[in-house]
Amino acid sequence: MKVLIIDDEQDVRYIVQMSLGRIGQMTVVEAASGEEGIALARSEQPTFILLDMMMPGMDGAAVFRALRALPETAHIPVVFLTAKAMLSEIQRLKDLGAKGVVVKPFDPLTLAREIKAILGV
Amino acid sequence: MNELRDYYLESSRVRLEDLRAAFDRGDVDELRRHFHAFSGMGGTYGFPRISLLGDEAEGLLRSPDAAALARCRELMDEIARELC
Repeated sequence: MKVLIIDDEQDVRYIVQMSLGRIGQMTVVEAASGEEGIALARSEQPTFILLDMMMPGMDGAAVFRALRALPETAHIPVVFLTAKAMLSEIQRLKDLGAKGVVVKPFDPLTLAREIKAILGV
Repeated sequence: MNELRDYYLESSRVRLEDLRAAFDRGDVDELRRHFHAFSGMGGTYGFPRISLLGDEAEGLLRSPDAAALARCRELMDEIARELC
């Protein structure tokens, strides 16, 4: 599996590398901004995208809409990363078309399992 | 997990310096960004109390008056102690 993590925070990208790359044995591609993430989604064609909600500039919702509007990325499942999400927020993201939501803080030892459960693989 | 904690300790020391500089500049957006990062990632890296402290600061910064900023400085100092 190949995951594209889109998050402006290096701390998040690092732990996703460790959790999904080293522990989960996935190939992890990193983007530090929404714009970079969209470009990498087009070129790398990841199995799924882990997308931070709160980013400067293009936020997660804007990136998600852009991905859905592009024929070459519209089919890629997106799992949102968000802090302290309330049930209403999680439902709103799913209504947008997100495959699922991971709430921060998360357990790095079980993140790969959590993601696979969301994706149904 | 030790590798993760070591990484986070180093990364957070840099963030604390940036946070102090943001206080000095009165840059509330930067304060929000850094406390949000502590809130989101502290617990993930094995520092659950940092998540709680960051969360409290984020809440205070929704109305960043003088009292809220003073409390946020205290929270920053508490985070620094957690990282010692």
